[in-house]
Amino acid sequence: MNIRGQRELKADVIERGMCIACSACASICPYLRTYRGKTAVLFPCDCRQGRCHAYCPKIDVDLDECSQRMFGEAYSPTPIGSYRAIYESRVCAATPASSFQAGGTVTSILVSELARGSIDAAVCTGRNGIRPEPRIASTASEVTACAGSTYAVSPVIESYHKAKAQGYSRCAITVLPCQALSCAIIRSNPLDEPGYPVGPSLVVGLFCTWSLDLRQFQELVRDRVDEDAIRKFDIPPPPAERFEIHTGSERIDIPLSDVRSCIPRACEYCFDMTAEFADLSAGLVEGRAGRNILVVRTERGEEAVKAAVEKGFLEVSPLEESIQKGLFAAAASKKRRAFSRCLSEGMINCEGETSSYLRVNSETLNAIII
Amino acid sequence: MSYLLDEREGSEYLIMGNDAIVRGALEAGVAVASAYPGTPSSEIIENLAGVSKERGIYAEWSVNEKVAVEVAFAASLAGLRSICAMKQYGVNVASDFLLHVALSGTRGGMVLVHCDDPGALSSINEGESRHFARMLELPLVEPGDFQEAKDMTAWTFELSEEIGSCVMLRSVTRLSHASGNVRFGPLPSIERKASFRFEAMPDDPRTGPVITMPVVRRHEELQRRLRRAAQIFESSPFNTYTGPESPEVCIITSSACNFYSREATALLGLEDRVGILKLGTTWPLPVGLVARHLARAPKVLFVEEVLPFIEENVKVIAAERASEIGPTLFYGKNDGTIPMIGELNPDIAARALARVMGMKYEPLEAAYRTTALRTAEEMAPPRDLTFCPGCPHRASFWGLHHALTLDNRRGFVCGDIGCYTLGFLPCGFNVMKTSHSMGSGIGIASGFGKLKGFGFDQPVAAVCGDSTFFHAAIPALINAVHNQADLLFVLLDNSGTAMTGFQPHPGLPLDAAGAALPAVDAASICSALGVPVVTADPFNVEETREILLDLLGRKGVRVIVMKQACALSPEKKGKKKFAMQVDAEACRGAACGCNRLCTRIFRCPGLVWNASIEAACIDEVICAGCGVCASICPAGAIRREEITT
Repeated sequence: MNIRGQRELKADVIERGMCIACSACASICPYLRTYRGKTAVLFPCDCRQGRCHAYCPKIDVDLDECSQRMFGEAYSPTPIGSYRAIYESRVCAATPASSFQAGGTVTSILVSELARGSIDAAVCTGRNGIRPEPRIASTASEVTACAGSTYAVSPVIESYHKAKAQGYSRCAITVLPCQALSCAIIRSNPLDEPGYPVGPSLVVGLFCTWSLDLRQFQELVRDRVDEDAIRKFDIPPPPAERFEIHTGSERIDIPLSDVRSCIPRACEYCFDMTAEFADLSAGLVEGRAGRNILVVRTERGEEAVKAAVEKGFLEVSPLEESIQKGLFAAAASKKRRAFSRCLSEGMINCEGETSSYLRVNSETLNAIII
Repeated sequence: MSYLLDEREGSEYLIMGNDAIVRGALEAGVAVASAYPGTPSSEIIENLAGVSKERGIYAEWSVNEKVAVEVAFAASLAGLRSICAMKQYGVNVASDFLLHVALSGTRGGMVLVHCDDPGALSSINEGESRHFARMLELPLVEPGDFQEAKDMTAWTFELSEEIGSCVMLRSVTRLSHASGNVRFGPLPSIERKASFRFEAMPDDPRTGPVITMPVVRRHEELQRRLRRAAQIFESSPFNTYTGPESPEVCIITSSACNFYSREATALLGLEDRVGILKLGTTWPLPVGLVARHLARAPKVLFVEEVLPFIEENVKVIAAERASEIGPTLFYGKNDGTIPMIGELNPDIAARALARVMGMKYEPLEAAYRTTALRTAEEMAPPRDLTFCPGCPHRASFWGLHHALTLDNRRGFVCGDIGCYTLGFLPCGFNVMKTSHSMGSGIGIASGFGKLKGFGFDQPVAAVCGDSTFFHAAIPALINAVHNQADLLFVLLDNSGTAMTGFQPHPGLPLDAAGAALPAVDAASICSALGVPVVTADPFNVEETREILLDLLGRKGVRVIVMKQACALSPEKKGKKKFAMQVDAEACRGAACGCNRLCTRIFRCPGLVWNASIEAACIDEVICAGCGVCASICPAGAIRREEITT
């Protein structure tokens, strides 16, 4: 990785429209903050190298290096990255009931981890009107209050840093794929700092095909619904082609194509649907309400799932082959599209002074694109 | 008792030009004094207010210059002598009313003192108010030294009464704020009775109703008054000539440039070859007197500030009287002998005179100049143009900067006139992007706030101080509300007209002499317009930022009152709320990832970088104890402890 400073971060990520406000750079320095889905550079910093650049998942990310450190192997050419096991899962009796997006898997695992004391807090995402709002949850009820998807990036990494400053030393974090990659980098101590903290205790990734630009999305729904009344968003499986907003009393449908117009540019370059650099990743099972797909990637993830199942928080079963095929096809399609775009725009494996977005060995790259 | 009330005729004092004007007004028996503060004019009403009780004067800080003239004019109509003072751009504000004052004429002596600021030492333009005299058709006089400042002020009241017109008396910074010896005259008794007479027909200027119609006839009377003034000026003792009978060059000058001309002539040893015609009455010019002097010299050099006012008017006389004056070579601003911008000084005048005389003039040896410049560069400590320690504006701009940057839509601030005009500099984190005349920030913002239909999507904020709010911002705010502009109006309420020395304004419960008056509440005025008004303390850094962020996200006109008194305000001066300290252990110094946010970015003069221990520290001598810097240190190394007394 070629680590530089705020100036390069601003020029090569923010001004290029590649920033998704994952918040990896924010709060570790007083000059960078996220607000409503954008990263703001408050003042120029003249440090030549900084954590802001090092932690960014959109600039000079060496996928092989990250993968090597996390999984002990070069970047996997499979559509869903490195993994140990893959299940169908759903919430079980020990987890308090809530309005889950699908199977309640993420909530169940976090509640289980809190119960067994392997984490002291979990940074999750609640909702304030339309806006995702990161929360530091240290009890089961605080975790369950965050159930449900917001379809926008929440600055959870910023909150993770805050949680650490507040004294939480074993913190889990629920992230989108771009943020999972940041977490992998953060865990790797990229600047070789002495006495470096270990990073998140458990990284739970959420499947993601795209997120929404908050301001544009807000404009889109402004006249259709009272923000404060929103209870849940949902996208029913094709061919519905609609985005549903559920309030306590009604359902407001917006054509999916309108919602898609709010997808930020950065998402068009994202290769990762399944949060490949998380300890665990969870997503929907198309056509099977109340269930999740659960991908276990690391030993730490395996341990968390095992404990959650043993204590009755979570139920897992083998994933049907056809569902897995569908998942792989969707993930491969996103990956191929993004890599092709990045390659054609000269953003992969750049030579010399030009900043790359991604670095990856040519064998894997060829396998993905073909 | 103030020395300004010294009743001994002939007593002599070394005093500031503005005090000489005050004494002149007192000797003329002035009854009413009004002004809006503005450097370099502010001391005039301030010091008249100081002696108002003893001299039975009504003195007020008016809401703006136009109203100040209206107040003084009413006194004139009631038969009293009145004085009105303002800085150069005050005349712009008052000019609408002044045009009508010129037309209707006055009764009691009325003098308008306008203090120009060549070089804009304390201004944001160097506009020259002398040109108003021509445009308004009002007589203009310019004292050429401190004694004249006193004598001419007293005399202009008589002149005003003799011709029935308001008279303009122009000073400049180097006359108003410099000092010279002044010999006092007698003080009159102070018995006066005010009464406005309107029984006669409107065409009776002394006892009829006062209106400007029929306009053409009134205009004719106005020009008759002006011709009478010119006639009086022909023999005025304030137009003086010194020098040989037939000079090689005649310098024509006025005001503070009189000093520079005299010094330049002496520097070059030209007292026997060069004459100086110092004009005290500069509009309308005494044509006969000017023509006589033009006829004596083959060359004329104009030394005046800033624009060629006398120069152009004299050239008209030269053209009209060409047959008696003969060929004359003119040097001045139009041919580039004297600069048409900035202040003049003896050096510039000497250089110009030497050029006209075909002499060499080198004020300083080149080597000395180089050494002096290098020494200054090396030894003078760098000093920012910045807000004072503990200034609420620094905190307000910090909040605005953070909110606008986080909001991330290229939002900006339209500025206004006050200490906070510095908001365009690093001390205001460069958030201010426009700055013009008083009250124009909100007016400009009102315009920006209507451009949405043209694809304009940047949030707009306007800042203005409490005094400026009353002065000229209210109509623009009403305009914005009525026309439904999208803008955030930020009222920087620091409890006084801080920049000019803490004169009270309508928002404060004080009059010009410090006695109690009811205050007008600015926030209530905004609320009455039907728009949301929030009050915040800029020293509560995070809370204020969140309020600003919320307001930026809303539409229409929104108002936030940033309330925190100026660190130099009478209520705060010398009192610290917090004892500040930097924990040198906690301060990570150069190793901190922030790279000295405190002293590189925030830069309060009370917070300094101690290079020897590589940590920030408090300069306890100048720290005002506002506590804001404790909120900005990312390491929490700056500690504050409330001082309980």
